[in-house]
Amino acid sequence: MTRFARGFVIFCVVIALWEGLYRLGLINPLLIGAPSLIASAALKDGGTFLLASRVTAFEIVVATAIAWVGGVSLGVIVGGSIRSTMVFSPIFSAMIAVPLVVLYPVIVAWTGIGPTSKIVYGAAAGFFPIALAAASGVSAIDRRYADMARALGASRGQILLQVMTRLALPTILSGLRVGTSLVIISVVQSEMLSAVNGLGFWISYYRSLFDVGHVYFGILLVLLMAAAANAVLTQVERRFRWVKG
Amino acid sequence: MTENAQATAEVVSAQNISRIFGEGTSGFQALDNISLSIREGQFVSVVGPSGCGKSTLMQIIGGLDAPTRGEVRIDGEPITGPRPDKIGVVFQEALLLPWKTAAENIEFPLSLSGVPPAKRRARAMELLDLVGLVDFAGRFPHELSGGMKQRVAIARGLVRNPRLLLMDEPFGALDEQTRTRMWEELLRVQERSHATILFITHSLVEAVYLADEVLVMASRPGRIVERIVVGLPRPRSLDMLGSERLGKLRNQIWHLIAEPQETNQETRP
Repeated sequence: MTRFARGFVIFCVVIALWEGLYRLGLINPLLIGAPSLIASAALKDGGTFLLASRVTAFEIVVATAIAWVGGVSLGVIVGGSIRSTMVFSPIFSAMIAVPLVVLYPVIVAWTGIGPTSKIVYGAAAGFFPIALAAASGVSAIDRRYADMARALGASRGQILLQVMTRLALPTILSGLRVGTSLVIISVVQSEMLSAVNGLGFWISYYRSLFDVGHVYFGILLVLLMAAAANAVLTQVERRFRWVKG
Repeated sequence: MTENAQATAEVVSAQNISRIFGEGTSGFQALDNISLSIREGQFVSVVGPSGCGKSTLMQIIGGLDAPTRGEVRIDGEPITGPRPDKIGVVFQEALLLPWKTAAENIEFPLSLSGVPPAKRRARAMELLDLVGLVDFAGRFPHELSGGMKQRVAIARGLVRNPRLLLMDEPFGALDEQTRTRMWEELLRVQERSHATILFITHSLVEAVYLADEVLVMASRPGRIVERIVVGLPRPRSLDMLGSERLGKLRNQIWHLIAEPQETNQETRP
């Protein structure tokens, strides 16, 4: 039996057990959903959730792109000099510790209740851990590599991009992992706080109606999105992993 | 050999270079009034105790650091920054880029200056042949031994056909056996490429065995205390390691290095 087939069988067994427990009345449907409830929610309001997924996915993709590009760029530039690393790394660390959620009402006041506020909030959450990882990654690289590249004719930009950033990639990639999950968490969370659409919004809405099937369907879609993001990150890591093991 | 070398052009000349780190009374004088001259095809070693400013000297000649006073010229032009077209550098660590193969690492200096890939590859293969690693062109650094990595680094240093190959304790991190094999390798490479080499080391035997001329440095402040013409015949062979001439030179250098250091220790604040 292939790995996939085995996984599928296990999945079916778990679903059957779950549904069985629900039918036997052993789990409270107000607290824990059941496969049949989720399926009926999907049939009834699949279209709404599909549109909401598109909104959320759009917000996550844009916020992630901003956090990746901005965080890596700033982090690499900061990490390129020991002095700026000493100045900025504590700032990045401090910003990670700030509960950004307290700023969310302010962000909504500035950018409205639509996707823009979610993008700003999500990007801000992902930006600092990525910048910190990039800065500490680059600054931790043996300076002799920079000397070597300079002596062999590399310009400052070439040293930073073609040598130091590449050497720091393992650290930068782990920063991307942390940052990306923070973006996803923050986008969904902000949709729950105040929004007009998006998965977080509908999960929150149906929770207030005690409609467990719809809530679980929304959760399932968020999980699928997180899995997709994880698959993308794994591909990126595979692409840049040069040393085995 | 030395008489021969004297007839050729001067590649590097340093005139009264001094390097002081910091300022005023707290300044530390790393190099004091160093002058040297290296002629085409010559192999010159610089030997001295650790902390004598050998590496500072290397940084200055390589254009990575600037002297406080004096100047270094290569082919008559003052060195004001790295001159990758004229000077190839090999460090103590191979410092190969782990995501590049041996061939790609050798090509790296050429790729920086925009040489087309086909031309780069051809040149890298020539050099892999020179250092005896043609079969390892596609291997990554983590698949190579320490000696092989250093040979790739030497090839990388030679890839732009520099006027001077500057080597900063290149075999310092290798074990005794590998190091001895690398001596053979380097002598063979020099014989075939006619490279002019400035070789910095703290190993007295290595300094004498490889070079035409040994510059002996002392520390605090770093200065050249003696210039020794080796005068061993070429090609060198490992038998010479036990020769009387080499032993005598080694002892002479040892006394030059050891004595001033003892007096320094007494006067150290």
